[in-house]
Formats: sequence, C-alpha cells, structure tokens
Amino acid sequence: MNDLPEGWGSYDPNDHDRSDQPSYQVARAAAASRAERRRAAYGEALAALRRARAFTQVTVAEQLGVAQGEVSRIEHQGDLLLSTLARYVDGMDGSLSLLVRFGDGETMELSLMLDSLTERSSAATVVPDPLTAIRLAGYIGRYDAQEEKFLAAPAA
Amino acid sequence: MPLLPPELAHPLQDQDERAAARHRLSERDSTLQAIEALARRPASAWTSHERAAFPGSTNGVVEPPEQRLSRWASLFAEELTEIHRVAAVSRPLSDLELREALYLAGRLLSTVTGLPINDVDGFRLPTPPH
Repeated sequence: MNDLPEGWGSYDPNDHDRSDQPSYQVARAAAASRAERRRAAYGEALAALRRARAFTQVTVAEQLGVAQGEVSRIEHQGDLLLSTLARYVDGMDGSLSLLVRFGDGETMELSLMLDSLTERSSAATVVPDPLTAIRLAGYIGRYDAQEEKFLAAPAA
Repeated sequence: MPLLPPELAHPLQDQDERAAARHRLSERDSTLQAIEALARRPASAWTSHERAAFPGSTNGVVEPPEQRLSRWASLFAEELTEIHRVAAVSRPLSDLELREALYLAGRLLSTVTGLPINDVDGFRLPTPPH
C-alpha cells in the first residue's frame, strides 16, 4: 500500500523540500495513522491469542520468569524481535512458526523454536584452540594406519 | 591434510548437548586411564574377570589380554596423552574440539575392547577385588 500523493512516486532531485505541501502533510498523517493501527492490531492479536489459551499476563510472566509489565510491554510493542515473539509464545507452552508464501504459490513453514532462536544465539560460541583442534585432527587422520599396525603386530 | 569424518564439523545443538558431550569425554577419559593402569600391572596381578573383559586375540591371532593391552598402550601413547590433556583443560571446549576428542577416545576404546565405537560407553572394567 502506498500513501504517497499522486505524482510523488518519482524522485525529483531539484525539489528538496516538499514537506510544507498540504499533500505531503496528508500523506504523512495517513502513514502514521496506519502504522498506529497496525501496532494496535498486532498487540490485540497477541492478547487475543493469550486469552484464547486462557492465560493472563501474570501467568505468562510467571512461565517466562519476568514481571507482568514485561508481558504487557511485549503486547504493546510495535515491532517485536522474532526471538521475543517466540519467547512470548513459549510462555503459553506454544511454539512459533511462520508461514511464508512466495509469489509462485509455494508455501513454506518456518519453524522458530525457542531453543534455536535463543539457546543457539546466546550460547557463547567457543572458538577452538587451533593447536588442539589440529593436533586432534592429526591423530584422527592417522588412526586407521595406527590401528592397522596394532592389528598386524601379533601375526608378525 | 587428513580427511575427518564430516560429522565432526557439525555444531552441537545447544548447551545441554555440550554439557553431555563434555561429561561423556570425561567418562571415556576415565575409562581409558583405568585401562592404561591395568595395562601397567603385571600379568600375575590380573583377575580372571579382567582378562575376560578384553579380547584374547587380535585379528584372529591368539594374544593374551595383558600383552594386547600393553601393546595398545604403547602404540597409542601419544593419542592417549592427548585425550587426557584435552579432558583435563578447565576452559570450555569448542564443539569441534569436543567432537574430535570424543571421536578419538571412542576409537581408542573400540580398538582395545573390540566393541563397535557406538557401544564403547557401555564398557565397564570389572571392579577389582578388595
């Protein structure tokens, strides 16, 4: 959807200041209003989901180990991180999936399990000690030959 | 550059799996140390249960377990030392180090016990008599 007034789709580098024009003011107000409606609808959808599962903000907060205000904030936040949304859903004993519809009609489900969103990202990635990793790889690489020696020795 | 089994490069799933892998490495290391200790004992000090816990032949050739273990400990001394060193480090190990060390420890146990590598964690040395 586009709130730009007619003719504003093209950019004119010589027309630097159009913000005073009434059509701009109207378009800007319409965009702000739509963003606010979207934000409200988003929060409403989350709250409706929670109520449909007979959870209160307090019970979800208890499940997540956060204050009730945090759950309220999530429901009123305009733009959630997927990990926050997954965590919110996890508080209701659910798991989050996204349905992605492509232009060619293909639909794919994107599973966003809390573990993969939070555990994996929060796990401090330990960088291998290069000497240890290389030394172990060397021993593994020569293991078959060593084992062959071991198996052959009693017959020798 | 040696070719490694491709699964060694796969990251572990989460912290639980890392903790389990570290624990398993510690267990395998303990078992290896116990086997090395047994290999150092004179044949006369072995119990029949200890003898029965290990193969009595190698590649179809009869070989007393005491001799077999002694040869194993000697031939794989460097690998065993490396496993003990890695298992003892206090810092967190990377997924690659954990997988490599677990694999190497598994191969060592498999060779000495004659068990498939996937079964080595079930191996227990007989409890020594009091």
